[in-house]
Amino acid sequence: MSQKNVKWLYEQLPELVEKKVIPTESVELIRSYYGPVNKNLGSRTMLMIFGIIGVILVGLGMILILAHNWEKLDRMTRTVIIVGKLLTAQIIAGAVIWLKKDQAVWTESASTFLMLIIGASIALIGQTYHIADDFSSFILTWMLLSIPLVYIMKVTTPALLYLIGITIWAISADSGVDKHFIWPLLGLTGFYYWQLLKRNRYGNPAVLLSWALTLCFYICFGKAFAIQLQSLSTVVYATLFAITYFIGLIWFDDSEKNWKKPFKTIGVAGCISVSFLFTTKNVWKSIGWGLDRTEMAEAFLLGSLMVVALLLIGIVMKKKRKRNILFGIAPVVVGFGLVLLYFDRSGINATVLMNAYVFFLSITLILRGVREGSLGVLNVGMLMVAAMMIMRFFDSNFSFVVRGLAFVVMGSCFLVTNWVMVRRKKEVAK
Amino acid sequence: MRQNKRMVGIFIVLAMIQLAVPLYMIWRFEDTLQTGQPYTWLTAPVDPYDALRGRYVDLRFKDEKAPVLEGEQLRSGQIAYAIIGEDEKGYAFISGVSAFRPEGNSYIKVKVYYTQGNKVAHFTLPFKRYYMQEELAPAAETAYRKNAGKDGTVTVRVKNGNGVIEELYIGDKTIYEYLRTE
Repeated sequence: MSQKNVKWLYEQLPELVEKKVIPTESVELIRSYYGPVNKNLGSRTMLMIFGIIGVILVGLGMILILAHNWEKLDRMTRTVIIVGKLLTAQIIAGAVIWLKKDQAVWTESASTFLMLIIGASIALIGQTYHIADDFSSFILTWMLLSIPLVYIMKVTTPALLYLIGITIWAISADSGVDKHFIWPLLGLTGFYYWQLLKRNRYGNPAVLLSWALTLCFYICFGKAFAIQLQSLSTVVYATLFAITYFIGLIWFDDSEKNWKKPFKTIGVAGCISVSFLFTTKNVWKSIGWGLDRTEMAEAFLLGSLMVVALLLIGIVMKKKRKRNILFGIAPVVVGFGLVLLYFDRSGINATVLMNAYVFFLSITLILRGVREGSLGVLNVGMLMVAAMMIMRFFDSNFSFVVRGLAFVVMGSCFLVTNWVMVRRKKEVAK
Repeated sequence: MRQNKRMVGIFIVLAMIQLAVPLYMIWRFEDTLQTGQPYTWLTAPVDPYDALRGRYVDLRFKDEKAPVLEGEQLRSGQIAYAIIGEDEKGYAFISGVSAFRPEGNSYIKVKVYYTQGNKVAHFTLPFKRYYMQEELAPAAETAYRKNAGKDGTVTVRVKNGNGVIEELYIGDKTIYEYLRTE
C-alpha cells in the first residue's frame, strides 16, 4: 500500500474504534503491520528530483560555456581544465561514496554530475583537436566510462542517461558497425535493473527504468534489424507490442496506477495504434506489393516473435482472465489478415477484418466500462470508435454507400450504448 | 565499513580509467601534432554547429574519391587506407585507396562510403572540422566567400593513419590573423 493510503488508514482508525467497527487491539496490529508513515518521503523525493535537475543544468551549462571555444585558451590550459574538472567531479563522487553512501539525493546528484563532466571532457578534447565525424564513438566512449558508476554508487539517473545515450549511439552509428553490438550494451544495465525489480518492481527507480528500457528497446530493435525489417515491419512491431503487453499483464500488473505499469501501458497503446494503422487499405496494399519479395530472415524473425507471443498468451490464459488477451491478439489478427492478403492482393478483405477487430475491441471496452461503471474505460472505447469514424470519413477507398452504412451502424451502436448506460444509472439510483 | 572501503577502492580504479582515457586521447593527438608528417590541403570552409562542441567551420575538400588499388576489393562502410600524394604545387591529394595498411607514414584512415564498380572509392577525410570561437566561425565563412580568388588551405599532421589539423589558412594568413586584419 502507498504511504498516502497508509496515512489515510491511520487517520480513520480512531473513528473506527470509536464506532466499534474494529476492536482497540486491532489498531496496534494494523500499525505494526504497515509500520510508521514516513512523513518526509514526499519532500525527500522532491529534494532528489530538484537536486538531479540542478546538477544536469549545471553540467550542461558547463558544456555550453566550453563550447563557446575561447580563443585565448591554449592547448595546455585546455588539458588542465579537462583534468581539473574531471578530478573535481570524481572527488565529489568519491566523498559521497565514503561519507553519505545511503542518501539517494547525494549519490544520484554526484554520479550524474560526474557522468556529464566525462562527456564535457571528451567533447572539449574533440573541440581542441578538431575531431570530426566521431559522434558515435564519442557517445560510446562516454557511456562506457560512465556505466560502472551505476553499480558502484547504485544510482538510477546515470542508468537512465546511459540507456538514452546507447540508443542515440544505435541511431547514429553507421553501417560499418555491427548493429547487434547494441544488445550487450543494453544488457550492461541488466543486473542493476534486476536488483531494482527484486527490491520493489513498483518503486519509482524500477518503474522509470522500465519505461526507458522498453522505449529504448523498440528503437534499438528497429536499428539492429534494419536490414531484415522490410514489408512485414509493422507486423513485427505489433507482435513486439503484444509481447510487451503480456509481460506487463503477467508480471507487472499489481499496481493501482497506470504509470507504474509501463509494459502494459506501452503494450496496449502500441497494439491499438498498430491495429488502427491496419484499418486503412493502403497499408495492406503496400504490404501486398512486397509480400512475394519477403526474405526468409524477416519471416523467421516474425515467426519466432509470434511463438514467444503465443507462449505468453498460454501463460495469460492460465493465470488471468481470458478477456485480457483481447488487446494482445492484435498480431494474430494481423497474421490472419496476411493470409487473406496472400489470396487477395487488393487488401480489402484484410482491411475489413482489421476494422471488425478494432470495432469489436472498442465495443468490448465500452461494454466493460458500462458493466464496471468505469468512466475511463468507457471513454477509451468511445474515443476509439470516434477515431475510427473520423478515419473512415477521410478514407476514400470505400464507396459512399459502404461509408454511409458503417456510419449508420456505428451511430446506432452509440445510441444503444448510451441508452443502456442511462438505464443502468437510473436503476442504481433507485 | 569494510564494504564501503572496497567500493571506494573500486571507484578509485574507475576514476583512474576515466582520467586515463581522455589523457590518452590528448597524448595521441599531441604526438601526431608534434611528430606527424605535415601536409597542406586545399579546402573551402562552411560554418555549421555542434551542440556539444560548439561552432566549427566545415571543411570541404575537392575530390573526396580516389582509385581503388589494383586487385583489391573494398565495400561500403569499410575502414580503408587512403594514400597521400603531393601535386606540383605542394598540395596534398589522395592518390589511391587500399584495404591494407601501406608502408611508411603517408596514409590516412578513411571510411569508404561507396565504390563505383570497385574502381573508384568515395570517402570523407577525417579532418573535416575546424572548431572556432562561437562568433568567429560565421565570420570565417564570410571572409572565405568574400575572397573567392584566394585559396583556403589547411595544414594537417599525419601519423599512423591519424590526421590532426594544425591550422586553417585563407591565402597566406591563418584564419585568426585574417579575421583580425579584416
